[in-house]
Amino acid sequence: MSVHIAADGLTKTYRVPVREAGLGAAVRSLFRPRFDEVQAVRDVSFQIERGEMVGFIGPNGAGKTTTLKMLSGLLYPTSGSVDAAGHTPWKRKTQYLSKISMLMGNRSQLQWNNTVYDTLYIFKEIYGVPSDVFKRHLAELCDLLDLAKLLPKRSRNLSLGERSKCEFALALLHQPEILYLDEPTLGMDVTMQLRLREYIREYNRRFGATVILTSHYMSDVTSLCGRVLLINGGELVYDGKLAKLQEMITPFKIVKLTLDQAELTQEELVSQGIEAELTERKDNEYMLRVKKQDAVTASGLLMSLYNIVDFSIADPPMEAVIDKIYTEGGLG
Amino acid sequence: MNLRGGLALIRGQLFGYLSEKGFFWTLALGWMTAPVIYLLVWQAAAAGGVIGGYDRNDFILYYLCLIVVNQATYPTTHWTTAEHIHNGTISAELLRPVPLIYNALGTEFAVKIVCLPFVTAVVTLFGFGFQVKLTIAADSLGLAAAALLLAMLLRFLLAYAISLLAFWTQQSNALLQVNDTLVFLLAGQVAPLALFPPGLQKLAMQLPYRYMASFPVEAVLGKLSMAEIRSGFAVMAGWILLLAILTYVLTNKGTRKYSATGG
Amino acid sequence: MRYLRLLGTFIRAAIQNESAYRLNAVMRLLSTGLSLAGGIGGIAVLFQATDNLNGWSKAETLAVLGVYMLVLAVNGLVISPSLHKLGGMGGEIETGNFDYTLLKPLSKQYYISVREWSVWPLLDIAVSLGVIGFAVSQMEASLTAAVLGMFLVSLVIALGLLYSLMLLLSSVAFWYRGTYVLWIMGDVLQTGKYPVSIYPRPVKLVLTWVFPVGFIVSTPAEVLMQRAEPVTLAAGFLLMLVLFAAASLLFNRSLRKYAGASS
Repeated sequence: MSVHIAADGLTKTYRVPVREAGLGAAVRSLFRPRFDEVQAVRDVSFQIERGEMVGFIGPNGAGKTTTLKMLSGLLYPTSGSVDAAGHTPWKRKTQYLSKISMLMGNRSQLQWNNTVYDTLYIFKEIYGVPSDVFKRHLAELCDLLDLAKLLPKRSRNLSLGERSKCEFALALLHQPEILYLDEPTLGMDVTMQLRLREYIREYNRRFGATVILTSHYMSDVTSLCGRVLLINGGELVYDGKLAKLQEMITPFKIVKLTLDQAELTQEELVSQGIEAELTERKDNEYMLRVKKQDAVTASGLLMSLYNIVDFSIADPPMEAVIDKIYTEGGLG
Repeated sequence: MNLRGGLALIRGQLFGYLSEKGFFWTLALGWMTAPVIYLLVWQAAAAGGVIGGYDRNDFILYYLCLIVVNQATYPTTHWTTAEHIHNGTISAELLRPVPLIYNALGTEFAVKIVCLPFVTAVVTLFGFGFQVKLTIAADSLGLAAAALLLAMLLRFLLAYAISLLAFWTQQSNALLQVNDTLVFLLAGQVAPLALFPPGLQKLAMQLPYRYMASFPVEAVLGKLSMAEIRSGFAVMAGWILLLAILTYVLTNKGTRKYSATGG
Repeated sequence: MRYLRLLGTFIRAAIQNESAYRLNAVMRLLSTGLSLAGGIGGIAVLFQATDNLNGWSKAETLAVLGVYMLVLAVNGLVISPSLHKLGGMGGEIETGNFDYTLLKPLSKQYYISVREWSVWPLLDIAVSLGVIGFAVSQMEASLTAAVLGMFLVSLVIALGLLYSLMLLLSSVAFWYRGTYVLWIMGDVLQTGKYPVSIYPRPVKLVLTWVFPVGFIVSTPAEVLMQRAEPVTLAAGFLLMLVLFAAASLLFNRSLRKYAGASS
């Protein structure tokens, strides 16, 4: 394994013109504009290995997309450096741009009146892909995305799902070794999200590409990325395994159990010496919150004391974890 | 008729357009260029004497009035109407409890209120620049005002009817383009109709285009006899009636087709 | 070499694209016919009244019209579609799709200048060449190879000027989003339908040095009439170099601004 992307002290400050309401202020700002400095990204450093799939997570406006744009070369940083595949991205050297691809869920590259094949062919020429390589890549894409029957269709006649598939194909045609995905599943229904995730995982597996992803849908990140970078208020607050983040934020397990007959109350739990908190009850189904270190003893006690029909123990759902970080603003 | 709804639409759109007046003034300047070019060309040509009953002062007056009339009658919404039908935004408009045409009318009024004062100011400056002599009779002013209002209605209806064809074809824009060219050629922009060869002149008098721009101008400058004015109004009323019926039919059939196929 | 191949790809895409619209073909033919009729008709009407417009004969004015149509057609063939896709209404700067363009591994200026083609102006080019040919046949002077060569040189200068101006105007969209300055260009170009020297002096000065419609349309026509001074051509060439350098500079500065390298 080798380092593919290394960012060091990445900082981006925007200057935003400000003026008070009213005509006088508008005229004054013509002559002496005032600016506010907004730090979108502050001193972010990390290293990503070749073939890794990494997710950027964080609330809206945290700086995820700004960071991604600096990595792809769309934005100059105010300070700091990035080495991606041996290049400085914002110099936008042809060699670098030929190695990467960026897919933005809210933007389209398809040409409305041209067929999918013709658009792919234009991309072949733009990226300077030789004809024999093009043939091979196209065959692989058809295999990966089940694209063959869409090729002769005009883009404007495609359904939403087919369109996103083709957008993905355009991004992958030159087989980039780094894939930046900015909200790739935006606006898709659940089935489509699942399919696209499958394609991303498969692309990563087959070609050993490095994938960096931002998404609002936590399930995108949980299902694809072993490692996450949590950005909040422009700063990198966590870099590591998703599971570990979960542990840090919520040191609880959720125990669900269905009882045969008996009643279970918080008082009873306390009197039996079970370290658990009853959080929900529906008929004879109960939900308990148990500290991680107490989980084993608590489960043992519950099993021995009650007639249990159904029992499960799990981590709290990721959405709840993320919500806790976003609302509390950091890792406390 | 839901008049209050229509008025609210106009007011809302007016505020929207006022905030973008820079954009519309740029557009208005663009619309002015063609008549200004012909003004300059004809005033150069007439430097030697009278052409077809127009001397240099007449030509300048004619084109200055034409700029204002052209601006007042130029409809803008047919492009957006066609676009909305294509991309489906028309659905939201169809759900409103006011007739479909109100949207276009509201925008038309708003754009005109934003652009007209600007254009009038520019034209007045031109007038001083060329030192034109202006004599207008009061009764021809009244007639011209009536002709102008009808001209606005006529030009709007024709463009709107064409834009409604977007319910059936993807390419109504090409038709709109051709319509604009015809207005340019036959509404007295290239030259006053009096200078056209007789055959073409006769044809232009029967087509609706002359009545969209040059008819009010000729009326206000006192270039037309009472009989010519009377027959002019008659032709105009005929076209307006025809196009109003056509618009009504197209709206009904179009929306029915739209709701049947979902666009 | 790769860039030449790319050019072919873009042109092919335009042809494939055009086959999507069939009615368009009829409308485009009609449109070309109408604008030809309008242009020639306008001149015919004008010269019915006079046989000399500030020193320009009918055939010479016709040659100006021909050059105007030719320049406009080449503009519509590739310059205008490409640059409108960048800085026009709904263009990439407005929609943010320029992000994708910025990440393409080739010269951005080349890419944004040649990527969109329109097929129909080819017909306009043929028609305009016909008009120029007819106009020249009506003139007394005969055409030599040297004159033809000079004419080509002046056309290259004209198109270079036009391209630089269009690039300059579309780069402005990076700084002030939502102002469609590109539209003004088409309107200003219309002044080239007639020889620039028939306009009043202040207008003429603006049309020579600010929006060099004079160099873009009148000068090539003057070359055909063997009336152009070599100095004029040299001045046009110099102006083209200056404008091209300025436009390229502004475009590349705009790229840096877009990527947040400077304010």
